Amino acid sequence: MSLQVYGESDIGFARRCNEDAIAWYQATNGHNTVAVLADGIGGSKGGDVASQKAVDVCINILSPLTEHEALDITELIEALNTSVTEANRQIRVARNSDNELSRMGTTLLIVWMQGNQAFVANIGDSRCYRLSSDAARQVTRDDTVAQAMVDDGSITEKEISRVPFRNVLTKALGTEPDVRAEIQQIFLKPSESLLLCSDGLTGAVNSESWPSILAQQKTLKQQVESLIDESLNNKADDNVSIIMMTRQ
Amino acid sequence: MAVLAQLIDDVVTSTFDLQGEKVNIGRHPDNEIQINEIAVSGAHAFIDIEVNQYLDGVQDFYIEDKGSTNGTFVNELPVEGRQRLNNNDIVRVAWNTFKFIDENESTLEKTAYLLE
Repeated sequence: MSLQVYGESDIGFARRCNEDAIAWYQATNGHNTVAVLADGIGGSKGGDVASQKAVDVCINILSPLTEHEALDITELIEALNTSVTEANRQIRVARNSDNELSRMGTTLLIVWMQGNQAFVANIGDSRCYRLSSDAARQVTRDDTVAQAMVDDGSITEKEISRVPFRNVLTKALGTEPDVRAEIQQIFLKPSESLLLCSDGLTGAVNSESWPSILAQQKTLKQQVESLIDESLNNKADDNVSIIMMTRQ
Repeated sequence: MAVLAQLIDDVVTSTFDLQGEKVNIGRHPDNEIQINEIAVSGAHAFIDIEVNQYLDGVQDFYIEDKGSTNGTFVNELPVEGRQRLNNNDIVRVAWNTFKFIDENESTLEKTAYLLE
């Protein structure tokens, strides 16, 4: 089975600039693939700078490793942690060198695929979902105040969309000297795909409707475009970025 | 400060400040918010006021029904267990309607930012 990857990033309906950044790299043998998505923190100057820097650093560090046949788990997790640490360091250097950028930060989502295994590293509220023909299941856990309140029993999952601070992050890249990503290993069934997205998508198109939207499209590119189109139809008030990875 | 504003035909007829740790609502005079109306139970509902653990300066207001006869509703959905109130929620105590107003909430940023 070979892996296909495609992604797009759109400014959305209401924002004046796109603070999301995406990139992916596939090994020449097509075996290993790394995809990175980052969403600059809105409201702070330099969100676009932070997200692009995070994506560039991670791709630069991780893409050469994709040429290895199969890294063992320890090496891979070390590489993911190294890329997060280095991206954090570079963003902090840029923050300290330019007053205008002094509060910038970004979410970061990295997915490394080798065979049917995916390693997902996450900081912030960008999300990774595993998609099947009838469901989209969230893999990552948001680093947000709202999610923390769900975890401590203060509110229920259903109430998240109503709380006023639902977008307040508890963790982001660039804002603290040390930051660690939550890293998970998952095994995909042949029929499953992965979808990485910024919160512009989840805010505009309910994940329950994704399978039926995607089912109408033939190619991966068309699938990604159909979700972006739907979010624009719904007047997405944030930037919308999507990367899909599927084994065929 | 957050308040419950009682509405009759969409007009505010009285307002109740929500302060302290707990505000009881019911027909009995012991309640901080007394509603002298037959459909309201003696001890009908209460609102817990707590400091948010994650956000400085933010208070959380949780409403809970006390097993009243005619129920407590938020935005026309029955309150089951404990439920956080959000700015502009419509709270109905039996047939009495209130608007929950928390001005602090409206100043919270609506887009992503980091807790630093």
